Amino acid sequence: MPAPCLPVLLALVASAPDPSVAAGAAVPASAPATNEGEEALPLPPPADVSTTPAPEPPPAEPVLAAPTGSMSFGTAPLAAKKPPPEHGPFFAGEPVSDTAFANGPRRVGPPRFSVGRGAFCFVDDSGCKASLVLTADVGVGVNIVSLPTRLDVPFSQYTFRGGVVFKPMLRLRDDGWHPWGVGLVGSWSRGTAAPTSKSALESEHTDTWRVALVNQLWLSKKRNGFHLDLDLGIVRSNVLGSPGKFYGSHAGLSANWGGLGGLFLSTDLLDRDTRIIFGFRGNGIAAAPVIAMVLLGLLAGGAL
Amino acid sequence: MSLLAPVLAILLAQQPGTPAPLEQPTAPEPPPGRQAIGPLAAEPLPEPEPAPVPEDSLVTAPPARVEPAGPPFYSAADMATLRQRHGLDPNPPTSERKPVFRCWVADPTCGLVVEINATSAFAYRARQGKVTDTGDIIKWNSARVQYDVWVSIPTMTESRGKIRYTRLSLGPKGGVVASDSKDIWGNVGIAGRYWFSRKRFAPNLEFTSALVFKVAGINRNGNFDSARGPLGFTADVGIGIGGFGSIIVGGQFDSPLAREDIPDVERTQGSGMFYIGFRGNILWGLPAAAAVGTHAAATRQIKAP
Repeated sequence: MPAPCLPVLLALVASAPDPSVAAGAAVPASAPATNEGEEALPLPPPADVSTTPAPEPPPAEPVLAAPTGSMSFGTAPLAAKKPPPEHGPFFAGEPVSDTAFANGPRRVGPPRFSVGRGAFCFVDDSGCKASLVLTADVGVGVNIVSLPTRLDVPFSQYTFRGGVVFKPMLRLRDDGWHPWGVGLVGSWSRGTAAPTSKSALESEHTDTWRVALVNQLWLSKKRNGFHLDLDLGIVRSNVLGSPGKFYGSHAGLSANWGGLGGLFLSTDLLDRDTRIIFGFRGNGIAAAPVIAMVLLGLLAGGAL
Repeated sequence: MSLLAPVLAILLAQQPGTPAPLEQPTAPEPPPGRQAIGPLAAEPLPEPEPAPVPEDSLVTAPPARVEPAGPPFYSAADMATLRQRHGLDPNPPTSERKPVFRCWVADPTCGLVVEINATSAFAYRARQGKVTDTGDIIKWNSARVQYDVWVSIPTMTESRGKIRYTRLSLGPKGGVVASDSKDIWGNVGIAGRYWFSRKRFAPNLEFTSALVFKVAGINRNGNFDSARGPLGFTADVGIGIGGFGSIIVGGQFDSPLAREDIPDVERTQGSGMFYIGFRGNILWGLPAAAAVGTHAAATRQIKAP
């Protein structure tokens, strides 16, 4: 067929009534191409010349579902909303219950001691996007000295710790929750002196500085939820009672209830001087009065 | 163009002209040679005879019970029966009192509580004397002060209506213990409280146990600084009123550090104490003031022999 006649034919065919439209059926998605290499147009099927022309059909009902293989018209069906990925045995939220503590923590609402509805919290919680870490702890353990004497003696310390932790996935998604948190903390502690008799004259205590990367794994979405923290970092401290400071490695694992407090197990790995500590960590809001009262008692007693 | 003439003629014939009148649909005619059969008319049924009605039913017929169309499917009477059957309170409360100091002082109506407790106690201390002398024990009267942070987690609860109450709380605790001679210990352990009622001043049983270890004291050079001590153990029980205060009785044991490979200057004797005193939340003031005062007095007045 000569190419110049094609527009005329299309115009004539398009003006013919389409029986399929009158029946309320959807228009097929595509028609066979007239010529190979030409673009396929959504043509209606050719009319049946044997049928009697029908009067002007009423307007067809709006098509709500697009035919298969075509998204060119009609209302697309709504896709099912993807469930949040935090479902699991440990990360499920608080189970639905008919009972509740009359004065307990509210199940909804921003975390305690927070601004911006959890954008920043002064006491860490499961719904906080960023939190201040401010704790004090006491711990006890063992100091293992790799001298020829192979000495291991009790070791105790008290520590002040501060830093910031973030939950990056909470920042990315407004309506979701994610169990991962990450942050940076620094700490200072004063512990028992090194167990060598010579060091007693040089150092009566062991001071330690640490900087550590904190990875949090929140096992609950509840308020004051339970979470595990893994600290990995560097430590700078006396070694074997020497007055100089040396670098080493620090690792710690702690089990915490929100930002209120928790139990920890940590180690400082220095050259031939290893300390393994177990202790209790409390938030600064609770620890500060304790420290203040101890100091006040010592001061009033003339010990300082 | 001559080839297109027939096609155009066919297409033009399809154009709508004057529409032919549509015929009304008619029922299909039956095939010839067979008589049409219509539907059979239903025969009238004979009227049933009335059944005999007993005379009693005319007198005692109860009115038909009207069931609600939708939820709730249990009426208030049903719920009352259910409560009675299970021994529940027939009139459960719908509201509860507010605790003083919000939930910073332990209360049965609170969930998880973080509390700061201060202890002031009389202590009867003892320390091992010369190792070579059997039964050489040094004893003296002293005082004990303790500051602890408790994380009290409700581990056993009871419900009344829709309100939950703590019956037993358990949780980690840690803090500082002080006594005479500038002795300061740290302690890490667990604390629990069993509530005997739900009232504001509910009596309760408190029990704690912890590892205790020397943090500071008079060291081998005679200075007040960090001090070494072996791991010890402390425990106490108490009877409390609300979360405000309790009378406690307990003890502490510090194991000796006397191995042969330890230098003499590092060795410590076994020691311990029994104590009886008062422990309370610092928020209402008296426990905190008593503890600070006791600490100061013990530091000034009591010297360990």
